[in-house]
Amino acid sequence: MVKSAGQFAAFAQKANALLRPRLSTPIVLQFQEFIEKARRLEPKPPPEVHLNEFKRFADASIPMAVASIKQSLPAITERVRLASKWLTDHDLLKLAGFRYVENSYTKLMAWALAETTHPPSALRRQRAWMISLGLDEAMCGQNPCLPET
Amino acid sequence: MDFGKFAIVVEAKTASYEHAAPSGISQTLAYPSAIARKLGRPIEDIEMIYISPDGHEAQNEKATMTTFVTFALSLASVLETEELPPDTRTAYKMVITHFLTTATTSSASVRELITRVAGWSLQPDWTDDRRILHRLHDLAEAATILLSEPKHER
Repeated sequence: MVKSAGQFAAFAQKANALLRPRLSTPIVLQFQEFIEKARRLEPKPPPEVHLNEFKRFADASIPMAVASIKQSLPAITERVRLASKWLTDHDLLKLAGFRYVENSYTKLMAWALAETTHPPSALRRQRAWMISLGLDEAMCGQNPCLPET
Repeated sequence: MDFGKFAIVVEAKTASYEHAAPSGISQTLAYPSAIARKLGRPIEDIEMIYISPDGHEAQNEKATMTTFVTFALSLASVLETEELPPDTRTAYKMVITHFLTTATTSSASVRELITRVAGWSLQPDWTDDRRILHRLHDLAEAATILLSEPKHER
């Protein structure tokens, strides 16, 4: 135990002598050198951000995007209103495990287009699909055909 | 589908691309000639339809590419004014719902998107530029899903 100032000074001297070699190892010296060099580095200016150019781009492109969508609004309106009348609360076919099942999709299409499913609308259903494909509805002739799978 | 004068061959793809038929030729190239031979018709009377969730290209450049959404909307437009028995209407609703909301490549919840946009379309400021800007993402998504056109070379 240190009991006096004289003893403390002696203790400090011994401790310094013991620690000095450890603080002078090459790794510590290299680290100190690195710290010294790092202190001398001049802070770099922040990178130049071309905010004005981006703002000009946004100012020019946003009205174009809005105009493009606005032009499609009548068609979007028609289709979302039509679609929303036929949507059920849950996709039961998905729940039943039919998601992306090719053969089942083909059979569903055949059923949906078949005359027997609803005879009064059969020809109109088949023609409507031809029209949606950009094909000549006259291809359907005067009678509905039988979809085969 | 044999309409008498013309016949339509449909190849449906869901989670994959076209592959080779047993003959070694791509499906949309092999099927029209095979069906023409079977029906005893010239190949010009055979129309090849290639349907997929995203309407991607067929190997046969004469094929018509389309989507399940387009198919569902064509049915919905015709049946809207038809008197259907309740069970038939329910069955059509199930098919149309599935093709509209699941047989697509959209990552959006299509059912919620359609319902939301349909609701907006009833509001008086529906065509207001600021409203459109605010809803741009959803409107663009709805346009991508519902306004895709069939692709074909004629």
